[in-house]
Amino acid sequence: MKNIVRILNLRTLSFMVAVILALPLSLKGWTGIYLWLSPFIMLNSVFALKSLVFLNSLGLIILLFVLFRKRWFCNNLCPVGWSCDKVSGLSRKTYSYRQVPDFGKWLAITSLVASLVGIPLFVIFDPLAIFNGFFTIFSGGFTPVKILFYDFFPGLLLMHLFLPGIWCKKICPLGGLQLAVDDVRSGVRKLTVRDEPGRSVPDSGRRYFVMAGAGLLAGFMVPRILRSEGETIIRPPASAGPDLFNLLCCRCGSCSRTCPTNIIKPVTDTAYPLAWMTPQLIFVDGYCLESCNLCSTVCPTGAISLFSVEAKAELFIGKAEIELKNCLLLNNKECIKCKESCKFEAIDFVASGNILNTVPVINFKRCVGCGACAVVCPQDCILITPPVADLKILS
Amino acid sequence: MKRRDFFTKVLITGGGLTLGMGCKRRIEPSSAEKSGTIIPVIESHGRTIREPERLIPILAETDVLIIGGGPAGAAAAIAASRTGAETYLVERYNHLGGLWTGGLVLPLLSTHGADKQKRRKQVIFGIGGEMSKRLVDLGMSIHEESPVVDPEAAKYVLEEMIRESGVKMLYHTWGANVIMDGNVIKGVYIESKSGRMAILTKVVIDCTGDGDIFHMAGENYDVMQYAIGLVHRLGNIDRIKTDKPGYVKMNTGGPTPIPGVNWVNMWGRENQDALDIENLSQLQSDYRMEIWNNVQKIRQTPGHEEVFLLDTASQIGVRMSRILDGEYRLTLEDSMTYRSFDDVIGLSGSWTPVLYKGKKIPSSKRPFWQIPYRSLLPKLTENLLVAGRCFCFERELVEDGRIIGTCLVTGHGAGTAAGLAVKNNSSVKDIDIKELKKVLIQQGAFLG
Repeated sequence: MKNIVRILNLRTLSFMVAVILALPLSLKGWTGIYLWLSPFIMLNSVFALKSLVFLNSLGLIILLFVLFRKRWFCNNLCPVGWSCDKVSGLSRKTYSYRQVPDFGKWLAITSLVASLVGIPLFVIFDPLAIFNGFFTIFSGGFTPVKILFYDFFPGLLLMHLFLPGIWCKKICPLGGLQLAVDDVRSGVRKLTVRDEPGRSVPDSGRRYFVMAGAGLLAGFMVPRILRSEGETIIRPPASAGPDLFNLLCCRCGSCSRTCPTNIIKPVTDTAYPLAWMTPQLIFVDGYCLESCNLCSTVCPTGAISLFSVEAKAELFIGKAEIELKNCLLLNNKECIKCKESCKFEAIDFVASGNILNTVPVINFKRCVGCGACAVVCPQDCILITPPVADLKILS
Repeated sequence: MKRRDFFTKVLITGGGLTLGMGCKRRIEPSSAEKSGTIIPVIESHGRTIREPERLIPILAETDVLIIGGGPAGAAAAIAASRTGAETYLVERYNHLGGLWTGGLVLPLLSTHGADKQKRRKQVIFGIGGEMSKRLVDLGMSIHEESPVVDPEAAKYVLEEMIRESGVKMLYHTWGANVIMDGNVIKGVYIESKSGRMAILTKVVIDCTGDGDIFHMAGENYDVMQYAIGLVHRLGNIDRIKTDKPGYVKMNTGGPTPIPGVNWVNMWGRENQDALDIENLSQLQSDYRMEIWNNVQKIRQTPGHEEVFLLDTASQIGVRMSRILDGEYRLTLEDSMTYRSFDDVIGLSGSWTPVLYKGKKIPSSKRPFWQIPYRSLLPKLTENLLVAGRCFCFERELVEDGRIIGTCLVTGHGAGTAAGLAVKNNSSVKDIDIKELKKVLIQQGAFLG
């Protein structure tokens, strides 16, 4: 009994829950809900998008806890922290890494400041994102890019075998953020309570100044350098623009795990290294359901913005293009599949010249590119291409 | 305050401000505007005239009367007659088989479906299967799955089977109205060269395809507007010279059992009202012109000089019109989940892919599906059965509900049920389902 109680402390329990929520179990809105607990993701998202959703309050609550208890999240909830500590326990050595600078704090502050001016930089280093992303291993096939990304979490554990505690103490941006919050608290305390002897001096303003400056510079410069123009990736509905998306997306894989039709797959195209492991829609045997907004409800960063199901008729994912050569209708065969499957009434059958040459025609004002027609077409002659708006950037 | 402290504080305040300014993010639709459905109005120009009362001669008194001699009607008549009931079949054209033969819609679709192990299996047996078998024996059927048949051969085979079973056939005759006594159809007025006559009967089977009989009997129904086409056949396809200079591949349809003869399907105009006779006449006229012009265009293309228009269908290709509001509405869900019914009268297969729960199910993987007796039963009328494309199913199932294979199966079921009801002197509504299934299996039907 005692053993069970000892095992079932909050942190272990938290690890188990996190694993369950990260597995592809079609948990609908609960998929990857752990990510919402991360104040680092929350702040990056809120700073970059200048707007909030309800679930952001989870991150805010954690932030409050952290304000009063130093590294409260690390010590009580973090599943990565738990597993890293377990692995560190295997190693006999202990290091305090006094000489090593606080990379985590740097990552956190730079990223946050950069996201204030537009682009978050290091969201993908959030431990919860790494942890959740690892579980994408259970969906789809393997490619070198995928393996590279999956190795992140096991690699972290391996690192801890040789350098116990290094990630949590020095590198983790979520940990760094908590340290920074602690610094703020000490700073505030210093303002109110003068000359408190015996307390460690928080990081000097100078260091924060440099971090913020780096963030500002990066926030302004990075979008200019890393232009994602020409990217022909079909994103889930209500996704942010390509520049922002690639850096805002934390690669947690929640959207692809929650998608009821399994059409959200990670980008592994080597032509777009910036977009690696971000979600794209592949219409092979499923389409983007007209009655679903799950990906938007689980996206912790808002890269896929929350939208209501009723708004789907206005969220253009792409557009359908028909290669008429193989169309059954044009070959005088009986088929109404594309028109029948279109929930937005965007396909009309129009006689071109002679009534025997009736062909399907797509109304681009209505076609949102959900892929239903492309998937159902018995001749596979419909293709979904990125929306017209994206192509405008090219010209 | 140091300069850098000042900057740091400005940054922090800025961050705080952005947080505070942040509004709730959720993309909502702009003003929702939905167009209402258009209800068709058949014009009678508001004027009416009263027909004088008159005495109508009674042509016959029979056990089972079937209106419509299409695939469903022919199968129903043969089935009813084989149970020993005296059967009359009323057909408005000069042939049996309806759209299958005279309409030149030659493929007998959905003969196969996938079983639970995802293996393709033939499901259409019984009288429909017998017709198909005889056509194969005549060498007038191509492809094993969803065969394409020769229309004249099919007319012949159906005629042969009708004669063998002893059905009394009335060609060139319309079912004009019903003779109602409360909830019971006493008979049907028919209209022909002999004028208006009546046939009194114990059971009526509505195989009109458009549900004319249940409409006149006062049943509730759904009216569906769909594309209407006109099929035609081309001859001398084997004499197309592909090596001729200037040859371009033209669209000449698909092969039939007769070498050199192709059948050309026409999708036709969308959303047509099949119950508006002026509309049907207009379409018939337009289509005839368009087909002729199109064939001329083909003939003018190098290599196609000898191709000719063999025939156009004698019956315009109405795909859907009325759908009965019956005792049970068969759903797409039923057809996708191997739903089994206690009162199954037959199974049908699949010929098109569908989207089911957001995923594509190709036609080869689609399950075969059971058709319950209840979906042939109207809600109000006591002695009426409905077979063919107008039996009770939801619109999502229309592509599978409206085709020849399903018509043959529902026809067979309805015919046998009518025959048994007459034999046992019971209403079609409380027929002994066990006996019905036993007899259907004896007649070769496949019930899963």
